[in-house]
Amino acid sequence: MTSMTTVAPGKSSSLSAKGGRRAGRLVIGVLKYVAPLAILALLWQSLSWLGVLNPKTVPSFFSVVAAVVDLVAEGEIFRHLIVTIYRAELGLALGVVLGVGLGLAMARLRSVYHVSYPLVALTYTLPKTALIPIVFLWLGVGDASSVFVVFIGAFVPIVITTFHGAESVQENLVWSARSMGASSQRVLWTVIFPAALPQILNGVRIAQAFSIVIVISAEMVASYVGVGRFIFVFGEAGNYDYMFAAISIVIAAAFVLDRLFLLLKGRLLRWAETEGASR
Amino acid sequence: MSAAIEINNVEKAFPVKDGNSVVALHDVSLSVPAGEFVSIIGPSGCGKSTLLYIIAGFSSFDSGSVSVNGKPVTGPGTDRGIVFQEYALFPWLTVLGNAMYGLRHRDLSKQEQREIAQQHIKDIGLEGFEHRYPKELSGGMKQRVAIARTLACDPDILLLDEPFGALDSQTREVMQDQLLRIWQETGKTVVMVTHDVGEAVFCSQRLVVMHARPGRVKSEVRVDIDRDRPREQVMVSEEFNEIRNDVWLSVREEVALTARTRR
Repeated sequence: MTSMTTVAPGKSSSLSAKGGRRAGRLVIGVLKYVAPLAILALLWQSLSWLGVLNPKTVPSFFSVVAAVVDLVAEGEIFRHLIVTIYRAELGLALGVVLGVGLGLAMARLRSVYHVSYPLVALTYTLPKTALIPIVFLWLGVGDASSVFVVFIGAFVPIVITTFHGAESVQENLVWSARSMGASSQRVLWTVIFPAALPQILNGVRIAQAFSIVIVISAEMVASYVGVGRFIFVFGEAGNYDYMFAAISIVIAAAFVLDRLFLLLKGRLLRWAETEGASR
Repeated sequence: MSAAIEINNVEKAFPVKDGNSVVALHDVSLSVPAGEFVSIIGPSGCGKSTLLYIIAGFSSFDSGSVSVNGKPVTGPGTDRGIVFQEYALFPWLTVLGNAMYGLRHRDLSKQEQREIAQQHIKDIGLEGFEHRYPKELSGGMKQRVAIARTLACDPDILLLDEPFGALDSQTREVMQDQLLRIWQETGKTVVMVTHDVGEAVFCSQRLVVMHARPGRVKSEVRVDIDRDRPREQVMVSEEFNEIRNDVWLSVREEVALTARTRR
């Protein structure tokens, strides 16, 4: 939505003033975001300086920053990061396709619901990471095992949000479509699916965060490449400043992925009443 | 002229908890000739919306018969268009997308679909809003889109479920005028459920007053007023007010009765 601004006398000056105000808002927005982190960093560094934190087990903030700079300059981490993101997103994509399919089927077909619901409910609380060793035994060390565990972890929340979204579709939307001659197949794809989309996308967002956690756990258990492996190696060697640095880079990457997803979500849901500022 | 809608001795009960059931409709019979504008009026809980949903094919009934154009009703169909109080627009489609929805599975080119939809949008006074989403429209505009969307499918029968109940009284009058004009121009059969007595008398040729708990037909009232006059002349005329007062008293009696039995 565009906001109305009162036009000051002199068009050009008001335009630049508007641009200036916008830049000002952006700076304030970034500061609001960064300030709490800066305070935390300062606290962390102070505790290191005061000797409260043992530098052997908890590196100081500045040494972690130095390690980040070193890792980024060297570039090796990005090769691992790309593998990790690929595994997470592929598992997520599989989870979205099959999870949305099952969720919609459960909402529309009683028989599917009765068969799937107990399984889904049980799998919901199952710690997916506990499956990692056995999955490696089945599928071997490599992409397939990591992707599979991520898929399981993403699948369940997406099934649940899709099911609830599809089930809570207003009946009169379905009735309207039926009265206009839509087949039940068409109602499913042109009414129930879009009506459930806001909830589905909330599920996907949560699943994306899970995916990163799961893939890194899997890589820490067994992997030749991937950021999880990278973090594990530094940890084993006692290079905690580099370990924290690698973790920081993962956090930054996950943050960017989440923001990208929110952009996509805002775009897909530009028609929705409640889709204002996305957080 | 044959009846567009024929309802005979319909019974409908809703199950409630403890295995009991509440009778929603008891021995309801109603015949609507093609081209007639009928309003169903009564206190809340008299089953008037249930009756409309049965005609639409959304709800089942326990016994009796319901037929539309001589064929028994087994489900929703394109011969009956519905307009709900809450608009029931598809929020993810634009005004044009909503108006085109019912044309998508017809044997029409994209261009023809667009032209038909555009014509109905124009007729209802929403030209220029084709690419807006429902969330960007006022209540009155949303209801216009719902009407345009239904008319684009060209049903024989319009079923209106308290269509203007959510609108302010000024918008409501504008919409009633528009509805009357559409009815006069197209000659469609209209069944409107409303709780607004003035609206029912102003728009319809016949009123069906319903009795609550269980819902059944209490009385029918013919409204023979000259509608070729402007609204202000109709609304102040003696004939309009006489009928309005009679029906209002009749409905009021029902409301009082329901309130008493509820206690």
